Amino acid sequence: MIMYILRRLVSIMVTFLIVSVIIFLMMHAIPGGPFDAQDMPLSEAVRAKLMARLGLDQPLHIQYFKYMWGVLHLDFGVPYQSPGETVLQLLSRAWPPSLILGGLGMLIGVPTGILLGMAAALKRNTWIDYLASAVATLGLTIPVFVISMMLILVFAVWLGWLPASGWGEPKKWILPIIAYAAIPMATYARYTRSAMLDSLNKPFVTVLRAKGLSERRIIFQHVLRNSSIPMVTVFLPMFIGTATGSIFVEAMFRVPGLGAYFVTSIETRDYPLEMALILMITMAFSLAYLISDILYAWLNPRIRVGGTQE
Amino acid sequence: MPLIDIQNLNVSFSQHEGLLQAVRGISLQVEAGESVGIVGESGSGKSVTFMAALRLLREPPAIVTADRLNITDIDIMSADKKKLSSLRGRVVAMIFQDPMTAFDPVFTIAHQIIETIRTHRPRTSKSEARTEARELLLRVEIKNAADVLNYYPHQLSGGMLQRAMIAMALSCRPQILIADEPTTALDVTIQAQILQLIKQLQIELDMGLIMITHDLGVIAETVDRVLVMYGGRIMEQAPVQEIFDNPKHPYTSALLQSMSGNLNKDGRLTEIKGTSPNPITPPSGCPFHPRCSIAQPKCATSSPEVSQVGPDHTFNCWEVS
Repeated sequence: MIMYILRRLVSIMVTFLIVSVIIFLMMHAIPGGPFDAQDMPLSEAVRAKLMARLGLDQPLHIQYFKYMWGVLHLDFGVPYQSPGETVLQLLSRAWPPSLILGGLGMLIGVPTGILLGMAAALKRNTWIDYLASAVATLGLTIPVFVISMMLILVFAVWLGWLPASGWGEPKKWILPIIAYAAIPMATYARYTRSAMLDSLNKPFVTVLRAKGLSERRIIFQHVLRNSSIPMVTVFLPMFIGTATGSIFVEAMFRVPGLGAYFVTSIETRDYPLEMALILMITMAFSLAYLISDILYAWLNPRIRVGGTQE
Repeated sequence: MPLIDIQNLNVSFSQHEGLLQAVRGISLQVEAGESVGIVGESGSGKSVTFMAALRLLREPPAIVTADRLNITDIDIMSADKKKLSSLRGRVVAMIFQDPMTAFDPVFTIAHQIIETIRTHRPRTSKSEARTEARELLLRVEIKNAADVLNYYPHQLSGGMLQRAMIAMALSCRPQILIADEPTTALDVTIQAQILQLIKQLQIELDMGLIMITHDLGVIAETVDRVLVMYGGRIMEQAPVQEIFDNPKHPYTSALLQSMSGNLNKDGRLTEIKGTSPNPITPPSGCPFHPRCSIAQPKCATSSPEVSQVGPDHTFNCWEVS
């Protein structure tokens, strides 16, 4: 197991390097630069001085190695759009809203999805099943910005119960959290339903019934435990997905989170911020999948305990 | 009072193509301590009969009706879930065909035996139940019982798992054990050991046994009385020796003929011509008549009545009677 984890860590480092090269090259391949004349009317001398100070006048490979050397020392540079702070300072300022909204969205979406999926599986082919499946399908197919718009329209404009957008008081969090919860809820409803139906049809369930176990114990202890393996393993990657901010949800509700910086850093050729964002997400997803795979092995005795002994 | 008393049991499954009639009006009784074999080919309704008797089928799609369905003094048709649960495993225990899929893969053997014990005897402590589980494993001749308790199902072979399943079934001292093809999924070398174990435990623990199988060899070794089923009906009932020495029903005879070892004059195994009846559109009259060598026109139109040949020997056939 330890060898396996080490091998995976090495492969994550390789992935990280490959991603960094690709992103760096693509970033610079996009025409234009951070201080182009049409955006910033600077004199030639000032522009040259700026470029020299930021190292943008050097050959690309030198720039890359300099940047990566910094990254190794946790120095991600200074964002061009906000030169008064470091990239890390900007991220630690922008991340909390995304983390809070994404985290709370998961906290609401995942249990709701599991309950919905369980109800659908246990009452299969009844109206409960059809309703749950319809809700799950809608949650996955309606784009999140449409859901956001409908939430604003109904709860902010028509009913006037909640503010339409902004950040600060928790009342403003409610609508974006619901928008965030839609995808985890729908995904979990579908996973839970199919995993439960799969487990319910296993022969061991009949054996448990024949042993005299109550239906409740069979469902909650045995079926749910057997179904939980896929449910646990999708959790972390999904959490990373929501906690790094949704461009759409944050734009719709004007939340000052990470999401917006993905767009602005590309638009303004803010190379240090763009690199930092993408490297961070690469690392987070890689680690999330690694931890999920370890959890999967730990939950599944067929992998954890190894092969036949008799 | 018989331990199991079934009168006119019907089991069908509603399917897309129509109503699948698995069991069509079966009546049988099993006395306490008796060992009964249920023989028939796949689809004859032998397993479904006992799954239905314990209400283990999912209803719907299954539809179960009976004039009488009693186990001990409990009326199964009207019993609530709680009553059924307390009966299952405690009065009637079951072991199944494929031991490899019969255990929950994510729990240890110990957990699954202990949970059975504590379901029916909640006052037993976990450590007491564990000691009992170890004794049960020793009883089914698992020598390294203490180790096996901590194993997960995938760490044991089919034969060992079947022993563990028998141990689990016996954990609440059932009055009757229903063994549904308990050796079909096992290696031939293991089959005889498991059968011998079941037989030996049945005598030691003085419990009833219902052995469901398609293998007449299994029946010969383990039971006192035999019911032959075909097309969801009982064709013949007799003490085991009578079935082998003096079979009355043409289907029983054909089944005996087709046992391996009985070669016909070309040196080939004997088969029963034709195929099992379609359970959605079962033949009218005697279900065996389309394949029967001595069938009469009457056999296709009306179901044969019960004929008695000995004190315990009955069969349902127009022509032989």
